Amino acid sequence: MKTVLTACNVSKIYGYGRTQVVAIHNVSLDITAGEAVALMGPSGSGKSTLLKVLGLISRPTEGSVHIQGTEAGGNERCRAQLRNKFFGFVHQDFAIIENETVERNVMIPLEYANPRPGRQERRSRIQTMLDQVNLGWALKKNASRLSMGERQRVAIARALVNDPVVVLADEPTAALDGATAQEVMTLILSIKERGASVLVATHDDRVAKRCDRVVYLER
Amino acid sequence: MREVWKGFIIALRRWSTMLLLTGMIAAACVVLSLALSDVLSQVAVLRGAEQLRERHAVTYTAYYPHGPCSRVDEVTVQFLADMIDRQQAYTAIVFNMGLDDPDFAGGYPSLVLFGDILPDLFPDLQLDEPAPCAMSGAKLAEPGIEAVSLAGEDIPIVKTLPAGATFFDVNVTGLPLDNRILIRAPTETLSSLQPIEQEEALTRAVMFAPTSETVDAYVSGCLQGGLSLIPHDVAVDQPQRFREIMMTSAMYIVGMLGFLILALATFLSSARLTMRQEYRTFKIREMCGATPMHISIQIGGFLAAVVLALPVTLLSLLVMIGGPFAAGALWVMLAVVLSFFFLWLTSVREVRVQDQIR
Repeated sequence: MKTVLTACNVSKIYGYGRTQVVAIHNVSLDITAGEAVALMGPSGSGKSTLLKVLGLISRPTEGSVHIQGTEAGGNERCRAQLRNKFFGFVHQDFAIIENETVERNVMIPLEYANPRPGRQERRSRIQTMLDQVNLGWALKKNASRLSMGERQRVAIARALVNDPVVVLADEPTAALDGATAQEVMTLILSIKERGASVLVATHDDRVAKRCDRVVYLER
Repeated sequence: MREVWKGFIIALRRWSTMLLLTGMIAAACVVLSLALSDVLSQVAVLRGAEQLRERHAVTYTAYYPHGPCSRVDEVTVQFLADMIDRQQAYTAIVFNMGLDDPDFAGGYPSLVLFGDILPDLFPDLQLDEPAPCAMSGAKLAEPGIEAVSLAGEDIPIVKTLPAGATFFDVNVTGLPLDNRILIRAPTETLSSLQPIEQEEALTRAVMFAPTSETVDAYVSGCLQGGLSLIPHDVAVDQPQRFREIMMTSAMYIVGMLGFLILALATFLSSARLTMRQEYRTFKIREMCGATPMHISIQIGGFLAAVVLALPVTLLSLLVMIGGPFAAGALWVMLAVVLSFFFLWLTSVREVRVQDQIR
């Protein structure tokens, strides 16, 4: 299978001198197309940091990240465009923008896409994506009025609307009850049908069991 | 531009608080610019007065100026004309010229000056020489007239005054000339003026280092014609007067500046809170492909909606109105723009700090 995302000896250190914290040290990882990988480990082991580094949100202190065989370096503008084109993010803490409609929440990745799709295409893609996560009825609803499970489904719709190569999910089911968590995971893993990959950071064994592979990070 | 608009939306979501803050900032800016304009005018006065103090000038104010018009005899008028010709005095007519002739100077406000010493005394005005001649204000580039008729003599308009030119008059202080026709008249015309014009010319006389006999002769000559003048030694009267004006203005400015700083500090605290509340929005946008530049522009848009939009619009109106308000408004606008950049840096830093915390 074709490798879509590679971490080569990645380390990330925050701060300087006495306040220096080594978040991850010398991590290497390959993710192939259509693969679902669970990232597990104790709190503070660097799961979220690794997702940030792999998702080009923060730069590694050492090592490199390769997307489809090409090293992802460059300036912030290039990294932001790669982030928009290749990744979809589902994050527990940053699920939705409150006081915005569901439509505007899902539209965000399309606003930064290059080239930017036209208005009709944007609307059509948003509607299709919301239908897929069973939120077609909520298009014009204010996102703050949705339940936690519905909010997470909005985040999933946003992550998938740009047809990403890899979905990076950080504790996507942490605040959800068992049934809703399974529903959300089913939605996230559905992207595999399109040949895309999923990397999920989680503490939940039930989530890990549904993935093809589990990677453990140690403190 | 989309990012700026998104910043505006952040402010609109909190419209009641932000409206109050922008109103406070705008009010403080406008009042401060008016106060500052006043001070800048006073500074111009001080500079003008300095020239007069160095020349030991004596000026006059009329006693009971609203009484019946005086009719000063020819000898006293000629006395002043002779002093002007010897470059020991000058005088001006600011308000009363052509009162009974609405078409005088094409209907524009005028300033009539008598005295060959004036180009040396006010080099900034770039007065044309020799008199008689006339000049139009910078905003009257095409006044529609080629000459001004004064006491039967046609005085040609030969040039345009520099933009922002201001004539210093001891009693009127700074007189903006952008919308006026300035006429340098020959002293021979003094005796041919209308009584009300002549009265103003005699009242506005400025004499340089006159002896007490000269002042007495002039005052008594005018008094016989019904014009009561009180002489003032600029070197004695002006410093005290200007000190008082400057003190009052300074207190006013400090008060308004304090209010503006208070309004900006309140907004800074509100902006920091907003940045913390909007951190989630910024983070989601960053995950979806926004660069730090996009986020910074959004923050700038939010700040501009509160700090710049209303205050700068009002200040720009003051600048467009021109006159003495323009200079003060420009300085305050500069201060507001600098404050905006400071707030922008602080707010962007606030978001970065949140990044490090989480």
